[in-house]
Amino acid sequence: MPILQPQDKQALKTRLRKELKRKITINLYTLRSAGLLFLPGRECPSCPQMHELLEEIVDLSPSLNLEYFDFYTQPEEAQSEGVDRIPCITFKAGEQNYPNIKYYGVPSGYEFAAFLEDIISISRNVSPLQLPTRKALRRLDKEVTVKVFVTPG
Amino acid sequence: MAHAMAMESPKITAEVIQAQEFQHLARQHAVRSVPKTIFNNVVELSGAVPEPIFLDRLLTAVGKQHLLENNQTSPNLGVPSGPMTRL
Repeated sequence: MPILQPQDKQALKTRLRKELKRKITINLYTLRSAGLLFLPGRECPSCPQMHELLEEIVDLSPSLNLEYFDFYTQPEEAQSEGVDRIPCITFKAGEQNYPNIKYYGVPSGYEFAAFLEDIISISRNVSPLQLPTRKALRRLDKEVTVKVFVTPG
Repeated sequence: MAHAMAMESPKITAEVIQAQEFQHLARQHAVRSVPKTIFNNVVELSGAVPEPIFLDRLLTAVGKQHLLENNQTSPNLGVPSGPMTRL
């Protein structure tokens, strides 16, 4: 059963066509199961929903592409991007990688709007931040990890 | 906002985490309402806040508050201005 409603799909399609500039690859770190067989400790209850949602989104625009990485059989990719649990999304725009922008878990509910804004901002390479904020961040020379806990709402 | 800041600086890694899917992490960080933001596991922020407050907390986590421009006043910290949802 589709996650996105037909009327929402049409509105999204129109918005993506207008607003996307650079091609975006959504990297999905996940569990690619073989049927119903799951190894203990390797369950990922939300991975199927994540697959479904992202497949529906990339179908809406030729500028969007989805790449799958199996967390357990392709550990080197996950490690190089700093992915330590699944499901996880990172982005690539053109040849530019954004391993420092991650979604852990399905961006549904209120988070879906934020997820869409991220895709558009990355594609356009335009920051929504105020100029003083951008100036301060450009001078930042220490690593910061920001964890934001959310719920679907 | 965390992701927008990470777009601006490769020094920032921003992770948006679904608390219900990663309950062990939410428990580990004592998440009782969302959004809850944690900077370098040392500075915390509850609720949705304006950009200057978010930036102030981020810079505080790495002792870089001097990067704030002089005309940016030190925000009134600890008071969320946006909605919060209890877990």
